[in-house]
Formats: sequence, structure tokens, C-alpha cells
Amino acid sequence: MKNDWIAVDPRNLNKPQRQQTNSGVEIELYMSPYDIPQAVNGRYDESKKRFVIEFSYIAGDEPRKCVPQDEHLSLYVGKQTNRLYAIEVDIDALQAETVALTVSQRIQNAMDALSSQPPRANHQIAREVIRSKHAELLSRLATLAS
Amino acid sequence: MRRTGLRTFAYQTAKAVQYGAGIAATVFPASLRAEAEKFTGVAATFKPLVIWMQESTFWVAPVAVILVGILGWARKRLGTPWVWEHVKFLLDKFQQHIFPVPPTPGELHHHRVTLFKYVKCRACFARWPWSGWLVSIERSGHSTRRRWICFAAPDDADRSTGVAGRTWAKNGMVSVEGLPDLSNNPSQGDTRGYAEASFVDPTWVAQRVCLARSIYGLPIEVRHKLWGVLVIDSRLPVIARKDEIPTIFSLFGGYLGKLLEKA
Repeated sequence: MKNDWIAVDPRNLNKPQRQQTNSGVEIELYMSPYDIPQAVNGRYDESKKRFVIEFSYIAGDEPRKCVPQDEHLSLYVGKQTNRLYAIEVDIDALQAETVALTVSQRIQNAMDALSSQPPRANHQIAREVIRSKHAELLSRLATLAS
Repeated sequence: MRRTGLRTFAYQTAKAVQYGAGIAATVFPASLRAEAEKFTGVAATFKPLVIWMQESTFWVAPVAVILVGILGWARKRLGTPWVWEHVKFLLDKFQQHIFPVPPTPGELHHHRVTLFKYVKCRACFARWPWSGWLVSIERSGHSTRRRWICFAAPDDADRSTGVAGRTWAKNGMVSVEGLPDLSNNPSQGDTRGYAEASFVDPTWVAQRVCLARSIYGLPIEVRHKLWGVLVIDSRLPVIARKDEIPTIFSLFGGYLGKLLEKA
């Protein structure tokens, strides 16, 4: 079976906040490793007829709830943790020639809306992962559209 | 730390007694259907036993049923031995990856990985025992395992203590490096500096042998909920492979969480 997951390096995403005590000891604060996706995947789901961007985490999967953003885009977050697990885009309903641009813009808008909700760190990291892996993910989408 | 040998013995004993009680709870009531007076031949040998069982069923059956329930609860509290063996194995492996032997100076027990579990209430004579604590439950290596260590993790997160407590409060990773060396007649300034940077009271530091000079805390989730924390401490002022910890943890953390679901 082909493995399409794109690995994510946590060191590039989890930058520390540094503090120094009066005695000169350096303290570094990082986000929870459970909030950092290990890998991201973009694929076309034949059964749903939707393009799906998925995230995998250290703790594995959990029951999800759907957070519809508009008629063409839905986010799936963990029921327990509210972490972002998947983004589903109805690309068939969008114009094929502008699909990559439209999807990219819609995802960014959805991520902007989500990043104000807890866990903010996870949502901001997920947005950063999409931004950094944008070319690889959307190249798959472009292949579908052509 | 957990007394592994004692707990394993208690768990196995509880398991054996629970099985026995389960059999008694089934067999004693079933004996009431037997007509002991009609037993002949070899079966007649069991006649006194069956009569005794019939006469005792009225108290043996309910006691056995209660015992099955109590021992089931006790076994759950004690934790399945194989799970804790695997947890210990994982902590050892985690320690070996962060502090590989050839380049890392010092003895094995100078670099440790300790698992703390959050408990709402701990059994001790302390102020506010019900306010939320992180209690050490398992540690890498074979030494420095006798003492129980606990840090406050109260609902008021500002009052959490230790790197463990701060990791719990923040639900993120906390790294403290370059702590003062307290091994040789430390000054009051060093003690105060150590206490400030490690989020504890100076009197707490003064009363103990605090040799760790770098401490790193990681949150532990079980069933997607914060369960406790993992604390890495070393007598070296820096953890050489600190940048590797998130990557190494991404390999171990998921399995550790799955194991602790069974504990």
C-alpha cells in the first residue's frame, strides 16, 4: 500500500518561549508534543468525492466532530481535545481550473477562523503545517483537477 | 516508586482468590440441586462435602460474590504487572536514547526518567492532601527507586511546584538547564537560585539532596486526557540531546499512553 503521508519535523514547529531567572538559569517553554502533528496527508476520498487533508498525532486517532465552515469545506476536530484532524473540501463543486487557488484560500480562511478557538497552539501549528507543506499537498490536488 | 515485587505478588494472590471465589459463587448454589442422600458407590465419598456445601451456601455464595467484586477492584488498583514491566522497559529505553552511554559522562543513576501520575488526593500527613498532586510512580534504572517524590498540582495552577507541576500546569514541555551545583556546600544564593528556577521553595531545596542540574518535563496523555508528566533529570548542566527529545518521544509517547490505558 502506498504511503502518502508527509512527515513533519516537530523541531521546526515547536519553537520555545525563553525566560531567564534572576540567577541566570534559562527556562524554555514548549507546546505539548501531543499538539504537534507527526504527519500530514492530502488525498481524494472516492466515497465522499472530497479532497481530504489529514493530520496524525502521537496519541493516535480519537472520535471526531464535524465543524462545517461553508457548503464546500468542513473541518473535523477531536471531540475530547478539539485538535484538528481533517479538512474536507468539495472540489467537484468548485471550478476545476481555479481549484487549487480556491481551495488554498478557503483553507486559509477556515484555519484563521479556527485558530481563535482552543487549543489555539494546535490550530496555529496545523495552519503552519499546511503553509509549509502547501506545495506538496496542492500538487496532488492539481493532479486531480487536470 | 511502585514496589513492583510486592504489587505483583499481591496482584497474583488477588487473582487466584478471585478465581476461587468465582468458582465458589457458582458451585455452592449448584450443590443445592444435588440429592446427597441418594449418592452410592464412589459418589458416596463426596456425600459429607456436598451436605456441608448445601448447609453453607446461604453465607458462602454472597460472601464469594462480594469477594469477586472487591478483588476485581483491588486488582485494578494494583495495576496489571505486565503493563508496568513494559512501562519500566520503555522508560529505560527512553533514558538510553537521551543519554547514550559512550558520549554521556556519569553513572546510570545520574540521568533519570521518572513518570509522575496525577492524583486528586494522596494518602499522607500533609497540608491539603486533597488539592491535587503529581506522585512518582515509575523510574528508569534499578537504583534511586525507594523514595516517593510528589509535587503540588492544584487547581490554582500558579501554586504548582517543581518542573513536574509546571509541566502539568502548562500542559506543555518545560526545560530548565544550568541549575546551580548544590553538591558542595552551596551558598544561600545558589539555593535560592535553584529553588526559583526549579519552581520549589528554598526550604524544600535546603532539606533535600538536589543534584539534578538540568530538568525537562513532558506531559503524558492517556485516552486524550492529561494523565501525568514525565520528568527527565540529569546531573549535567545541559541535556546534550535535548533537541532530540520531541522526536524520540513521538516514537515512545503513543505506546506509553496505550500501555497506561491498561494500567
